[in-house]
Amino acid sequence: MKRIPQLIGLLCACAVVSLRLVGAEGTSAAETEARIEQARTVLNNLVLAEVPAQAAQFVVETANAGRPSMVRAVVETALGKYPTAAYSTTKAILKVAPDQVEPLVSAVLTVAPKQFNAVLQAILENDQVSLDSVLQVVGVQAPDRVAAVKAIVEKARPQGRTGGVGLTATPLFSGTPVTVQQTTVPATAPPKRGSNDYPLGP
Amino acid sequence: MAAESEYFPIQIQTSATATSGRVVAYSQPNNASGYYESTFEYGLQATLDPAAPSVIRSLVIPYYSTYELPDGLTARIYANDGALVGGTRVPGTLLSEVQTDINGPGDTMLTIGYSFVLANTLPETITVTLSFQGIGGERTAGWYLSTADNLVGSHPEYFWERNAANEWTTKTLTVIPEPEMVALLAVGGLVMTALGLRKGARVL
Repeated sequence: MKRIPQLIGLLCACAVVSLRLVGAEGTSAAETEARIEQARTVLNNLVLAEVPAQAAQFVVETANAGRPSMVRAVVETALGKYPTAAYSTTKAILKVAPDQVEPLVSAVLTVAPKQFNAVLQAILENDQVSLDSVLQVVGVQAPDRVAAVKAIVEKARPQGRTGGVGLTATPLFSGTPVTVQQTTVPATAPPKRGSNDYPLGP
Repeated sequence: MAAESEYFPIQIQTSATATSGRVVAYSQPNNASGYYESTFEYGLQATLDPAAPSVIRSLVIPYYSTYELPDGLTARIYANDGALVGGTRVPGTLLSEVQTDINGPGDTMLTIGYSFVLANTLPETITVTLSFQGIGGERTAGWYLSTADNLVGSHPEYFWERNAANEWTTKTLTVIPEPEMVALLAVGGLVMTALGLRKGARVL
């Protein structure tokens, strides 16, 4: 009987700690939401060349629990504005968070499916990324692409993932995987050149 | 290799193995003379360094654009094995065609990388072309084309452009005077005319 007050006290302490934890989680989720909004705004105001590094920075600065949401948000924003930043943005994000390939692939398939091959190339160049996770996401969101992606992944595995994949050159070099990278910087209008006919032969 | 801030008409890299690489055509840096705009396909002919390996590995091309257009840009490689015109073979067999986005606004360095495939050997003379979609009005785009001397390999003093009949023609580059220069010339002309009239009036 003497221990009843002690037990009550212990229960109260546990309840207080639990409430605090719930409150902390709530605050953390709200902070993540605010941070995601900030990330969207910032990325929308950047030039293409600045996007990959900044996107990765937002992911790094986000706590583990909020990272999938952040990855999804930065990829959607970055590729929504600059589809050709797919390769470099993927590369930058996976460098700092290779475990976030699932939300990344999911976002790419949602917002920029045409850029998936460039993204896959960046994935294959990162040894830390789980290719099975990639196949799993593709299987759910783009089942028609599973066979092609699986073939590429299986081909890349024994090569240590050094083989590039991406768009495909046609027609004589048909089937050759190609990668396209474009680096754009702001520029004032340069002079325009004209042309004259140049007759060949005598 | 040139830094990204430098501009040159083209860089072609080939290799003999999957891990090697060698630049076989590379022109002078060229950021001052401007870009060439056309709604037709156009491009540079390059004769590759004959001692070099010939499996295509990459193309690097600089261009300028005021707009962005998904799938608006097509890069092609032709073998110059077409009809013989004036001692020169026109672009013939299409070796590679890659479609990508026009990535403006601004200066863009387009890099197309090819996986190593032994069968993808380039002939000694090729023509690399670009086609820009969506040009018109405020939307302008073009390759920083130049026929300046190559540092590696060689190319002629002309470039190729398709005409409205889809035939290949050869062209040379000219410089279009900027509006400020045109205005300056016009003012100069007016002054000279006025002085001439005044002198004529005195004689009378």
